[in-house]
Amino acid sequence: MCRLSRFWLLLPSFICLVMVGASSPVHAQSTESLAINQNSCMKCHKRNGAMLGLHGNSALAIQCQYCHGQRGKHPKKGSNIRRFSSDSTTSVTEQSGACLECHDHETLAMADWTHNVHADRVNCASCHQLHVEYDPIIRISAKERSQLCRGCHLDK
Amino acid sequence: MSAFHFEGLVWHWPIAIYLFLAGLSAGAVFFGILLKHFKLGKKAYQSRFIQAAALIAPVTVCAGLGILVLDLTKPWDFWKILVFYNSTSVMSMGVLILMAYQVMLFAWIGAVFSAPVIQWCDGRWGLLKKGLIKLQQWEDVITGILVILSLSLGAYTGFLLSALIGFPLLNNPVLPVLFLISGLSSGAAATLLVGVLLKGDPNGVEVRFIHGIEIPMILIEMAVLFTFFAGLILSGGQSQVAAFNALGEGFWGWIFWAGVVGLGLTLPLAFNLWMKVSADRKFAYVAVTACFSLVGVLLLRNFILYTGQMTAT
Amino acid sequence: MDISKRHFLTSCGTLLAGISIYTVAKELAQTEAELGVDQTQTIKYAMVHDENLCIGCNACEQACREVNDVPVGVSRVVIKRTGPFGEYPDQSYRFSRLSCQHCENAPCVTVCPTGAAYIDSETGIVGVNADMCVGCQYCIAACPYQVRFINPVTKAADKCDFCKETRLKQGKQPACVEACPTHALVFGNIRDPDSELVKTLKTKPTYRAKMDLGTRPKLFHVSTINREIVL
Repeated sequence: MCRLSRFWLLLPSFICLVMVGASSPVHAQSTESLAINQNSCMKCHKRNGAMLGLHGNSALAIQCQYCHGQRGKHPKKGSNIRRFSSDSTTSVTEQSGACLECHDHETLAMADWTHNVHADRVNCASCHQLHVEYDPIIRISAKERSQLCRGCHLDK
Repeated sequence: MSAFHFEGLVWHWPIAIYLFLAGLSAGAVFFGILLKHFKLGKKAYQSRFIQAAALIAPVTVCAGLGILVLDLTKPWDFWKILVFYNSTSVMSMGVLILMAYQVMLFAWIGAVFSAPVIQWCDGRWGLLKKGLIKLQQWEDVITGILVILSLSLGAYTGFLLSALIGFPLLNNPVLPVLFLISGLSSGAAATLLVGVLLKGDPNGVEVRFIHGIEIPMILIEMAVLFTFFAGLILSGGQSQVAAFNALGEGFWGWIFWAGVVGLGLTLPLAFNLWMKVSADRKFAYVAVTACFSLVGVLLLRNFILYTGQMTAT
Repeated sequence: MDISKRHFLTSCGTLLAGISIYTVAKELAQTEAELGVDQTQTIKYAMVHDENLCIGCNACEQACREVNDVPVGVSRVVIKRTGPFGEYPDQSYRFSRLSCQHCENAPCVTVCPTGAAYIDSETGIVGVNADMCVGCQYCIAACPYQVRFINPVTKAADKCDFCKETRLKQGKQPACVEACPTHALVFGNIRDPDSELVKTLKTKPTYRAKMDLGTRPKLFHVSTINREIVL
C-alpha cells in the first residue's frame, strides 16, 4: 500500500518532467523567446523584426549591444549606435571591426578570397545579411556571385 | 603529387604500352631480317627464332594499334586518321609509316615462308602460290624497304613525344635515338624469349648472333641515356628542373635507377657477358635475360612518358 | 667622253644608293617575312587581358559557358588567381587569363593528325573542327599553354575560338569581352590601326606567355603592377 501510493505520486511528476523537457527546446526555437529578442531594445524595435539565424543563437548569448554598441544617447541625435549597411554613417572600418571581434580574417579568407581584398574597403553588410535565418550569399550560384561583383565594379 | 595522376598529365600508360609494342615489333623484324641475311639464308623459315620474329612483329604492332584506337575519345572515328593527313603532324607521318610497315611486314613474312607454304598447299590455291612466288622474287626489295620502315617506326615512337614543345624532357633531340635503340633491343629480347619458348636451341647460332649485337647495343643505350639526361641538365632552366624531377627521389626515380638502369640494362649486360665467356647457353639464362630487357624497356617507356609530362616549360 | 664618265659615275652612285636602300628595305621586309606574317590578310583577331583591371569575378567564364554551351567540369577560359600578396588588410591578388592564345605558329595545329585543328585563314583564329577530331589528344599534350581539353559531350578537343561560331557570326564581341564589368578584356583586329585593341597595345606595356617557344601567341597581357616580386 505504501509502495503503491508512492508510485502514484511519482508517476504524474515524472510525466510532467518529461513534458517540460520535451517542450522546452521547441519553445526555445521560436523567435520571440530567443534570449536576444527579450532584449530591452526590442521594446522599440519590434518593427525592425526579430533576430534569427546564427547571430540569434541563445548558446552564443549575443546581445544587441555587442555589435551595435552601447545605447548612449540613442535614439536622440548624436548617438554612437553602429548601423551595419553601406549607407550608414558608421565607418567601414568600425563596421567590419565589430564583425572581426568574433570572425577571424584568416578563416574568412579560407571561406572566400574576396574577404581579403575588401577587408577595410567594403562593409560586411554590403554582401551579407546579418539578421536573417540563412544568409543568402552562403548558397549563391557562381553566376549570381559574378553579378554581385559586377554590381559595384561595373566600369561605365 | 601522385606518380600516375598529376596536373598537366594528358597521356597515360596505354600510350607507353603502344610505344613499347610498336618499338618491339620494329625490333623483332629488324633482327629477323639480320638473322636471315647474315646467318640463315634460304632455310631461315626453319629457325624457331625467325618464326618467333614473324609471330611477334605482326601481333605486337596490331595490339599496339588496337590500344591506340581504344585510347581515342572517339574510337569509332579512327578511320579519319587514315583518310585525312597532315604533313606537319608527326602522328600523321607515323600512321603512314605504320600502314606501309604492316603491308611490307606481311609481304616479308610471305616471302620468307613462301617455300613451306607452297609445299603445304600442294598444288591447291594457285593464286596464293603465284602471289608467294612474286613475293619471293621481290624479297630483296621488300627486305630493303622493311629495314628502312622498321627503323623509321622505331624512331617514330620517339619523335611522337619529342614534338611536344611544351615539355622539355620530351622535346629532346636524343629521344628518338633512345627509343629506336631501346625498341630494337626489346625486339631482340622478345625474339629470343619466344624463340626459346618455341623450343629453339638456346645455344644456337641465332642466339649467339643476337647476343653478339646486344652487348654493344646495351652499351650504346647507356651512352644515349647518359647523353639524354646530361644534355637536359646542361641546358639549364626548366630542362634541368625536368631532369632532376625525373631522376630524383620518388617513385619514378626508383623506376629509373632500379628498373631501367639496373634491371633493364646492367643485369642483361652482365648476363650477356657471362654467357659470352661461359661455354654454352641454357634456356633459363636466355629467357631471364630477355625478360629483364623487356621489363626494362617497358619501364623506360612509362618513365619517359610520365616524367616527361611532369615538368612543363 | 666626259659626259659618259659623269653619266657612269652618277649611274654607279644611283645604283649603290639603290642597292643600299634595297638592302635596308629588304632587311625590314625580312624581319616581317621571317616571322611569316601574312601581310595580305586584313583581319587578324587578338585580345588583351589587363591584369590590373581584372577583379577575378569570373563573369567571363560564366558568359563563355552560356554562349558556347561549355559543359560543367571543363572551361574554355580560366582566370588563374595567385596571392594574396601583402599584409592584411591591405592585400591584393594577381589574375591571369588562361585560354587559347591563338598562336600564329600553333603547335596544336602542327601536330593534329587529321587537320581538325586549323588556323582560320580569314581571321587568324585557331579553330577546331569537331567532326574531324578523333580524340587522340595530341593537341592537348602539344599546347604549351595547356588550354585544350576534351569536351565531355562532343568527345572532341575543345578550346576558346574567340566565339567565332557564336558571337562573331552575329557581329558582336566575344562573350567574355562583353561580360567583363571592368573592361579588362579588349578584343579586336590587330591589322586595324584604329581599333581599340591596337590603341591599347600601343599605350600599355604588354607581355605574351612563353614567347621563347616561337608560338607567337595573340593573347596579350598587361602585367599586374602591384604584386610580390619573385626572383
